[in-house]
Amino acid sequence: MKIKIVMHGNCRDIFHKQALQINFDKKVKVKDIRNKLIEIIKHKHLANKAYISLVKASAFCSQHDEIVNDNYLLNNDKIITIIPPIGGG
Amino acid sequence: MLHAAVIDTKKSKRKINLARAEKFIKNLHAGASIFFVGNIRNSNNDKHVTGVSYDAHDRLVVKTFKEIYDEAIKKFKLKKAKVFIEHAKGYVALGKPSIIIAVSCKHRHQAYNLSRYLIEKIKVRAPIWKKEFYKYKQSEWLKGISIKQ
Repeated sequence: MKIKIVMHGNCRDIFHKQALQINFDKKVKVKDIRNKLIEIIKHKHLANKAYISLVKASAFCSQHDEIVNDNYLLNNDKIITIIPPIGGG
Repeated sequence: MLHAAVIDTKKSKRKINLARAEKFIKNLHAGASIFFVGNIRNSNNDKHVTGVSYDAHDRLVVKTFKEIYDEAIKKFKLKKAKVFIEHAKGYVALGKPSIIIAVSCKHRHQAYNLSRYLIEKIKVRAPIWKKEFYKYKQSEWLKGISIKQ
């Protein structure tokens, strides 16, 4: 299944995109998406430790605007948003 | 009563401003109004800041503002309080406002408590990101606080 991962904050600069489209063979959990993003960093950014830490510290938000944990299964969701550490105001 | 919005500085024709906030919180039941304005200052961590660009997950930000407002109303047992919250998205120049929180309540201690509660919770819960710009075209996303469950 094809999943669109919407980027925010520093993630847009790390992945050079506002959103990534990734194909997964099986049903996907949030932790699979997190691992895939870490895999991309290892491949494209020489395993940059700061970038990996950022992805590890990030939350994820479902299409229903709920923060979801690593075991959340994307049944009908085609879009998920990565929420890196926040700091507005 | 709550007004909550993210104002995109590129897409929106209007900017966040105190006049709209004042109009919204006008309240004959209230004896106290507090206006909090967060402005872009010229330094952070010994760096000379020239401006800030904000990114936001707009829908989740507004939802979070509503949740924080509901919590505050319950926590401080407020009746007939009015709250106006707007946060900027996109580039904000030095000295310009990035956030306005305006509240009106029956008594001043309620207004102070409410205003302080809202900004402190927004800082640690609303999905907003800040990129600072410095001299010589340098820039940096600020570290931020994880909201991972």
